[in-house]
Amino acid sequence: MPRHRREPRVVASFDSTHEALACEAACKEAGVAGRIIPTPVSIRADCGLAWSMPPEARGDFERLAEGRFTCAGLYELEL
Amino acid sequence: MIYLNCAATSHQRPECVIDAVADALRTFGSCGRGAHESELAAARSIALARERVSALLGFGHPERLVFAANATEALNMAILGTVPDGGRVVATDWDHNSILRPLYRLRDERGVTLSFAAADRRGVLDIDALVNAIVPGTGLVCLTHASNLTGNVLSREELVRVVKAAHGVGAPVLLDCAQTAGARPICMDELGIDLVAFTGHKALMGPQGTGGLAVASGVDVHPVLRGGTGVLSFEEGQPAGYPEHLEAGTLNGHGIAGLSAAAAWIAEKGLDTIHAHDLALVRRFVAGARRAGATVYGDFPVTEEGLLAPGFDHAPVVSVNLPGWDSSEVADALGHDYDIAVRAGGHCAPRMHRALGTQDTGAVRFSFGCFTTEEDVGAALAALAELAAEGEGDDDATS
Repeated sequence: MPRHRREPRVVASFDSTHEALACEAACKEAGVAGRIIPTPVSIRADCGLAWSMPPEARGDFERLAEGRFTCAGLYELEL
Repeated sequence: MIYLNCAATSHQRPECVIDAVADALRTFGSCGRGAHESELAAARSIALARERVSALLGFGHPERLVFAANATEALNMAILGTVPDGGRVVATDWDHNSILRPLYRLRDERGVTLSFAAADRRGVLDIDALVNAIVPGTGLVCLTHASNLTGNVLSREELVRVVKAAHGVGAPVLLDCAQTAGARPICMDELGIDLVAFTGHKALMGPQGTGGLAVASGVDVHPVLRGGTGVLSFEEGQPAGYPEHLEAGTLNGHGIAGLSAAAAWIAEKGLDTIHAHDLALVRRFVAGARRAGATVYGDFPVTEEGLLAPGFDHAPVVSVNLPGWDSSEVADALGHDYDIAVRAGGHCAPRMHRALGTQDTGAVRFSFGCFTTEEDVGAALAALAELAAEGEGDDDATS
């Protein structure tokens, strides 16, 4: 059985590894669901880290981001 | 965890490397900054490291092997320190951003002209074009020994040909050995290569923060960094003698102690043995990845029976894509669902990706090292086959 199941996700991209890790730390501290993933090619093909979260976490994420970290974009994807 | 990202760093290292760093942290003073036994211990360790690493590079002048923080720093030293304003440099599509970005800087800030030899869809360099581009006035020829994306490697014959052309117009040859130092013999002196840049933490299996540049006798590199060397303190300029000429500031003695231990470990195991081990893994992986339906990038000549041709050579790096999958998603699935570490994305190799036509998709890179086993490769292939089966009929995933 395949171990990977695609599901709807909201993905935040960043312009630096530092920002991605700042996001991870803030989300973990605040209990916002999600995890670090390689930036999907459909967002950008040139590497980097992104934050992938379930759609229901988006509101908490956006409130948390203000003043804590800067994401370059938010995308709705099937991953 | 199965670590197949050895082209990024070795991750698994001989225990003697860890012990050497720990011992150095407990006992070393600062190399060249005093004559107490603790300072001398650091100095002796670094001198021994120069000899051991030089031997692995086939370089007979260890005093001209200068240490740096990594291959990128070494390449910057070599490029910025040899190319005159308004000069001309020949480079290739194989080159990593650690070569490309210093070159683009020279182009933009110092009027340097750049000429790049192209690679084809298999990543094979046009050596005729490369040689033809080496015309009078060329100030430096930059080569990458093995592509960090395809694993294609320059053959001995190709290197000899390019060196001959470069020396014919008085241009030094810089060889980026980030993916090959410690994984195969380099034969720097024998091939007449002028400058070899290496990193200490990949196939050489030393700590991160180590690397360096071997500078052939008779070749001078203008020092980019200026500062303390522990000798000739009242001179205003950087000392002319090597290695201090290019080593401003305190060296990473603790890291270099680990690199030295790693170099001794590699020498004992044998570069030819390591190369054969790596090649066997590449053969198995390429065959298995193709069976799984992956697109495999790189030059893999096959016999009529479909086997990789005898005499086939390659660095332990293979990049692939799976139909119906985003390359970053494959890397994430391998990491998250199978605990297999690989690397997706652009690999700091923009020209190589464009040559392969993967600039919009990226690729999933698998890279092997001394501690990679047949079982590791088998597990990666099994995972790839599962993902490939899942991706069948799911072409929307890459949209």
